[in-house]
Amino acid sequence: MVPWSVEQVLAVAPARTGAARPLAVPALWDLTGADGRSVWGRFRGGSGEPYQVLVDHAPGEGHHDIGTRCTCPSRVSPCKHAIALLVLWANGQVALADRPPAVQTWLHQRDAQSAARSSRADSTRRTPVAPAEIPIGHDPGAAGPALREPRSLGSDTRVERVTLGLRELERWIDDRVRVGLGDPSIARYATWDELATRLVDAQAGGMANRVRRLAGQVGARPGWHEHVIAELGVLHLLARAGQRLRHLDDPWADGVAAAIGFTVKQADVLAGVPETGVWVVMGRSDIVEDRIVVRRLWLRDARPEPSGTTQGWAVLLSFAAYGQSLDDSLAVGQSVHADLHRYPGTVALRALLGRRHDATSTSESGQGEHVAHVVDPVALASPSVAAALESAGRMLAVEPWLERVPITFTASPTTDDGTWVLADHTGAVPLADPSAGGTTELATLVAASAGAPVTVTGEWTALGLAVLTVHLGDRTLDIGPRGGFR
Amino acid sequence: MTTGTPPTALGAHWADLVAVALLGTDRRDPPDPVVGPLTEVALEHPPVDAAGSLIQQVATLTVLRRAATRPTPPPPLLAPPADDPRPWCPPAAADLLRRVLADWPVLEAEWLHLAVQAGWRLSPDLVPILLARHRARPETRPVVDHLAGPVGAWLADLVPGLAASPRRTSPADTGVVLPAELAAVVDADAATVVAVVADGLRRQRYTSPSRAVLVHLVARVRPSELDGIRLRCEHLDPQMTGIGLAYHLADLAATRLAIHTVLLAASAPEHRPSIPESS
Repeated sequence: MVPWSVEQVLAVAPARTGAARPLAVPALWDLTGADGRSVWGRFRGGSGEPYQVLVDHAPGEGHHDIGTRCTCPSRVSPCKHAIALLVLWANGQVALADRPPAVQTWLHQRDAQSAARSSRADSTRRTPVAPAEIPIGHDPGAAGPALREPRSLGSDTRVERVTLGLRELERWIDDRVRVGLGDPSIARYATWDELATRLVDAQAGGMANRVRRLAGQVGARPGWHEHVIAELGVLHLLARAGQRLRHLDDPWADGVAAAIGFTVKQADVLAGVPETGVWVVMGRSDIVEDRIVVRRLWLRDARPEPSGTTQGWAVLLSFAAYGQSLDDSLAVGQSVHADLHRYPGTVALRALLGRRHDATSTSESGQGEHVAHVVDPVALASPSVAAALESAGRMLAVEPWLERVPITFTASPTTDDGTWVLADHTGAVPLADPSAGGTTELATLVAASAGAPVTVTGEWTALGLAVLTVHLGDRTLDIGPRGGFR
Repeated sequence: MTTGTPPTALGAHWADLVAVALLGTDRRDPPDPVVGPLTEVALEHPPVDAAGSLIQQVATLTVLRRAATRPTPPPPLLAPPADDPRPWCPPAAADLLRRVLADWPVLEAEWLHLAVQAGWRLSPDLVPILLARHRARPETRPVVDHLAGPVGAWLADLVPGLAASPRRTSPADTGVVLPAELAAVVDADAATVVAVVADGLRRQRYTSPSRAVLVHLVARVRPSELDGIRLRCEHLDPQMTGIGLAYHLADLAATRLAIHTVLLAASAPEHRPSIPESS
């Protein structure tokens, strides 16, 4: 058996070379082995659980290409761990060994799937891969590794379905642009509903939700068409990127895949390396989306100068259907010393809380969950309105499809030509339209300020700032939307 | 939204794109992507037609605009209300009032009066709620206005739905008249009160539909007896007729006691109230 050269390995997925190289260090691996068909090993990168990596490097007839499997949360195959293992192997740093039973089982499964595929292919005509899918410069006839199959994106079928759905979305956007947003067709419910249904069928649920939300913006306010065309631009971007997932680097592919609707298992996220620290609950919003209440809890790293694209921010999502209650275990203003596990992506805001490290405490009166502040939220505020928008801009520059970006800053509520804004000497930002019955929240914000600057946390959206919290010296006012089944 | 700054080349180009998007590329061609990074993107990914060019330019500019949003020039700030030296009522008091409004509205008047006595003013989260609630209640509006202070009138000018309404829309509260046996024990000690209540429950003199009198009794007993009443109600025979109502009254007593504790025990520094023993 002749192992591949390192150059051949790196040609498998050139986009992941940079990420894989630093991991191709024997000290980070154990329980490695290789034989005539496969390479296997365990990657120990940090304090989290190790990732199990398997590679089928000589699949033989019936398979399109090599197969890989890794327990890391990344959705794209081959992931950087698989490439790194192959590099080790190509460098002669993986010893010949007896194939473990788990690897054997996996190979059997792959062969069985491949046999099933070829018998299906004989009976049904498969959709040929469009030329746009093949990377520029690649000759399909050349020997060596061909197009990757995204492993953890699910089966062939799912990826195909999503791709077809995204192509339809592209065509639909094209139609809207030709005909114009002033055309009556855009105000018809069926125009949007059929597209959203089609996207759900194509298993692109994230896109379907965006389409439905955007449909609600048609005619919602003067100047709606400017907002709608901009959002169609973002949908176009996601549709194009979603059709090119295989050619994107891991974190980009993960971020786009999440926006489209590919899910990552909670267990996989919790198995990853956490960020341990003190997290302050800065804001909460409850929004009804398609008959489910989505609660967002925005957490902020208590350290004053955190780095990275998320700038110390994270969001916990929880859901409740009609009749269920939401998880109230964390109150705005509370802080927790805990492990935070982020879902993969370029702006990895979505996260899960893992192990807690502090003892819970109750207030003296024993009422409620008023755990004392460890951190003053004002210390976490951006120094100005302009700085806050800039920090939001940094996240949007990386993932422009983010619909809500968290910011904390100090400013005074005031009015500008009838619109409420928050302003300081660097400028003003508009408040988003209040949700139904939301004028109480606005009134609370204005009453709390009495014209003077206050520290607020809010979600920056394309339609303005949704204020979630007013951080006062001796108390925290939670004024986030309470959309729910009341 | 006023901008006050002259349109940039990209800004003008964006406006052109939006106009074409409204009309449709079947009717009007999009402008050429000759501005800034649009040119680069078009060169790398030549669009196949006018619609393709429009959406490509829109997508590119939207990403730019979102990443580079700047605040608009600040408008004048609001003129602040007159100063109010009173401190905000404690957060626990605000929580209690919210609970009162939801579960025990009979205690609202007492909460308000105790707050006045102790020298608090309404915390900002309570101002809009109470102003709205007492829009059309001329008997109680003055107390609320007093507790809100200058912020109240100032806020009512800025936000709709808070100013006092000239016409009453909710019926005036008629006082509930206590039956003789309950009126007799209003000033009694906890043991006596609970004995009378329990006796009436067992005889089914008071059932759920007529619970208002029991509620009003507990709302009027001496505050010093509240803890005793709560304790005794909680320890009545669980098999007793009407025990559910008794537990309910225990919760009422506990809530009323908490109001007294929170509003009076930690009262505003300048105000050391002397609470009369009985009304």
